Amino acid sequence: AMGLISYGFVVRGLSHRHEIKLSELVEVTLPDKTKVRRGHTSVDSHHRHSIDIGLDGKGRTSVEMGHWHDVQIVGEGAGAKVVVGPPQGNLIARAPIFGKLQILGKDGNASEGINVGNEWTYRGYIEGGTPGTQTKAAAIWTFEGVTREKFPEKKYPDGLPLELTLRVFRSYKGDIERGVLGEIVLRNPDNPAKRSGPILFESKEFVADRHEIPWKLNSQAGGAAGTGQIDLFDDLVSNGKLQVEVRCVEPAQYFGVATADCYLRPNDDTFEVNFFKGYLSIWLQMVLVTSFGVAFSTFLSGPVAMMATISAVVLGFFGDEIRNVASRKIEGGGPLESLIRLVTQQNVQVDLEMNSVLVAILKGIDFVLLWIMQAGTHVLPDYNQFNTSAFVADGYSIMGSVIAQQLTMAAVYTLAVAVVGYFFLKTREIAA
Amino acid sequence: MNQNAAFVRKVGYIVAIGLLLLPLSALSQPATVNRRGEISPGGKLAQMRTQFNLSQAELGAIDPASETMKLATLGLRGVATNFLWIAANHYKMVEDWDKLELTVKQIIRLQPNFLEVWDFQAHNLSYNVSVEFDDYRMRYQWVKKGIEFLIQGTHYNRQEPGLLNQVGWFTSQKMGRSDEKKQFRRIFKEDDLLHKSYRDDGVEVDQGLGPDGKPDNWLVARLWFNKATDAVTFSGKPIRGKTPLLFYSGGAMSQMNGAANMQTDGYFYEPAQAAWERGAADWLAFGTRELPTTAGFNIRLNDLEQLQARIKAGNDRIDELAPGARKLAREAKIESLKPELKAALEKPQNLRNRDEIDLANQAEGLIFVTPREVGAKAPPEAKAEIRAMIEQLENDALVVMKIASDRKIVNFEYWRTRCEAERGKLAQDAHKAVYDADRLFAEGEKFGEARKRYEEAWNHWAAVYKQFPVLMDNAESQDLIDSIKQYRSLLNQLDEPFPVDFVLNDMLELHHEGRDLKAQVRLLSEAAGDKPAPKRSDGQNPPANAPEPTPAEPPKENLPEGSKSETPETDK
Repeated sequence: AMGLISYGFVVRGLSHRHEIKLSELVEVTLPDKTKVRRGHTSVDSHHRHSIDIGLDGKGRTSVEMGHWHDVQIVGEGAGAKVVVGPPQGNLIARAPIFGKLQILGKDGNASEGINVGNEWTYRGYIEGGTPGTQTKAAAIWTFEGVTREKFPEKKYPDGLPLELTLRVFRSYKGDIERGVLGEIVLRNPDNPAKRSGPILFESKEFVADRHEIPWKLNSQAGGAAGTGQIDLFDDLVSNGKLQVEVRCVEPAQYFGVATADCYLRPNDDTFEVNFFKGYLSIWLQMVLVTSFGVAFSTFLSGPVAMMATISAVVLGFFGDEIRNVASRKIEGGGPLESLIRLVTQQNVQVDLEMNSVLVAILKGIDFVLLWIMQAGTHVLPDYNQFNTSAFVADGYSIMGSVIAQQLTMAAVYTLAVAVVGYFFLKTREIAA
Repeated sequence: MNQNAAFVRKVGYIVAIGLLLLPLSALSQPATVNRRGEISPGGKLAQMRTQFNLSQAELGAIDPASETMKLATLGLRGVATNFLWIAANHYKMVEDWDKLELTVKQIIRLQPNFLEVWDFQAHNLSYNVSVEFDDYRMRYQWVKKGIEFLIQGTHYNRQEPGLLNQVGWFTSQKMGRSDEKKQFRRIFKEDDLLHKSYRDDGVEVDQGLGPDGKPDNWLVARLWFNKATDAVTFSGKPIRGKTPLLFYSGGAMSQMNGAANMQTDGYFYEPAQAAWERGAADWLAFGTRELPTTAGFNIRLNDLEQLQARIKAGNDRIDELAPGARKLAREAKIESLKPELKAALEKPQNLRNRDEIDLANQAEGLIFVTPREVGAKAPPEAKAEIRAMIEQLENDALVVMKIASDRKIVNFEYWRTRCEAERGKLAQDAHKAVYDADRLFAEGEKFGEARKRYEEAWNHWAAVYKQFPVLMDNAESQDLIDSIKQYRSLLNQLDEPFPVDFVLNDMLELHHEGRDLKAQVRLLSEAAGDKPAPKRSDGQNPPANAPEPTPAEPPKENLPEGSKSETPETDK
């Protein structure tokens, strides 16, 4: 019921309408000589869209905050008005096929990529330049399961759907009116000499930059003389494997890449199903908490069982943190030492200003307590593993493997605590 | 009977409660806006809150989220804020910008009156987050988010001069000085949503229109700076985070920068001159404003000349009353100087090296004779009059010193002189000529015409600098040096040397890049050896249609190794 209510909240929260006044549209001629009526929607839900309506009276707004609206002029003469449809494209569940990433450095050897000074080392950066001469740096993703069955030409007439979410780092300003130029090359993993000609693109950050890779490609850029067409499946895919090579072609500019920054995007999953999967994860968490609560209640009194359950939840959520405290990655000591530091306002990086014998005793007790807590974190389920809300919120389908992993964990833990609870109950019955 | 009395008493209580609710309602009814937009000022307490700016809530839009969060944390707001702050830093690190923005909004709901939070996080959004995006349109959006965040801060903290001043600063400096200023300024002109947001907050952007009839970021920022100034004047709240000197200079500086940018955008003469006129008026008003100082007294920047004149008159009068006393005292002090200081002082100014200049300055300080010292050597009959003057002179000297130092901080003389210069036709001619020449050069056509316009421009600038030499030694001249570099490139393309006796050499000498440029020209000229670059006895550049001079620049492959460098080491 809560799931359904929250679905209602999500849909209602994103649902909105805009208005467009026909009289405010201005007729403009596009570079290809076509005429459109251009304008803006009204500002609703903290945003507005720009709109080009063709002479046929139909159009689509710009994509803002991850969605767009279909627009149509209805009626004629003085009674004509613009009808704006509901938001589209904001409730999605992409089901991408991720590849395995290998980064090549400037010298063409395997590398982790350059760190451009970011604290977050999730992405490695590849340096730009004329490929092969100025730099051999590239990011190569190897995809598996690229088959005609999965990507039938009929269903994907424009080509293989590929999306990039690269980052850009400029070491000089350059032309900021456009993105940094890069190129995509598709190649056969078993025979790297078999490769497509470079497909030039302009970087786009913080959006899924979609490219339809044609099924028939040229083996040289722009189909240079003497080269024929090659077929993506026949020439470049080998045992369902395909390599996608991305390079930056502007000298001294950089592309940031990570494994999830290039993926194939066949059909999306249904948002509602994905939403359900998200709730399933939450429900499994609840099952685990309840199971532990029941198990504790078989041998502890009510309030103590509740405290024990809360402790289990805390240990389950903050296992990493506790392990870091135990291994001294986080300074400040164990429960007793940190309490003393808090009360006496002592810096975590200096030795405790106390009698050395007392400090030794405190640390000894802390060691035991931390050992118990650390052991607890290994025994108790890691509740963070059940958090899939980011998938749903970011519009990615929760993978089947993640759900399977969660179901297995939940089943195993539930069964284990049920057995423990059963035997405790049994013991009490016998005692009674 | 007893039961009946108890019942009556209870009814009485209920009626009393009901009656008391009426005055309570009259006192505490909140201000509201109904669906038709009609405003009810609310009860007496609400009216008093509005009157004394005590209310955080906007009229009719109470912020329940903020209040709920504050209550829900059960007094642990500080702890909650710390956790959120750590989360915000994490989201920034992992480039999760939407969550960062949301977290920042949560923080300010917990600490709406912690002004530094508004300052810090607005800066975070406008400066730190915006640069993480490669697309300038996205950068603009984040700069805007920071500005809107600050504006939101002014709702929670009404008439807060620091926040209002910051909105002006972001609108002017971030939009108008960053690498993307050209694009930002262009988008700003068309950003009717931001304009609406400004209007909703009482800044009428139509008062800040540029010559194209669209809002100009510099001129609109001036309105925010003025609003901040008004907040100090009318609310009496203190200036926070800036010295009064810089705080009050914002509006006038913005106006002058707006005028300068008009010229960069290709608007000259009447609109630019009018903008400079307004800038001059603003600068005069700034100079007339009484500014508190850390020295414990107030100053007015415009008072300097008057005070200097008064000091001079006073010293002259003392010298009259005690003839020769100052000279004697000075000579005595010179005699007591250390030999190296004395030697530096005695050396003619133009022959002093860098160390000697320092020593001479030190010596000048030591041998300065104060009115009090003159008074000590005055004849007895003059001492009483001199003593009466000394205190005033010493106070004046102190104020003069403070004004002079504050003037340096805001570059007072430069901007005052520039306002004067820019209002003249000569400066406008010079700007227009440079603009035309740069445009022609960028188009890559009509090089002859571009050269002609450049040379006209240099002559105009030489005349401007002759009239207003103070304009030469300023960072603003950097734009001109960029154009001079383009002129040099143009000459290169025409296969002609850059003139060694370039008419703006004096200005180039005052700037690092200018000195570099001169050194390159000199190197090339020396490398050419036989023929120096064209030199004219009247100091003017040769006209564009002058006979072709002998090429002074040999092919680069024949140059010595060092001279091929684009930026040779000139300071050696």
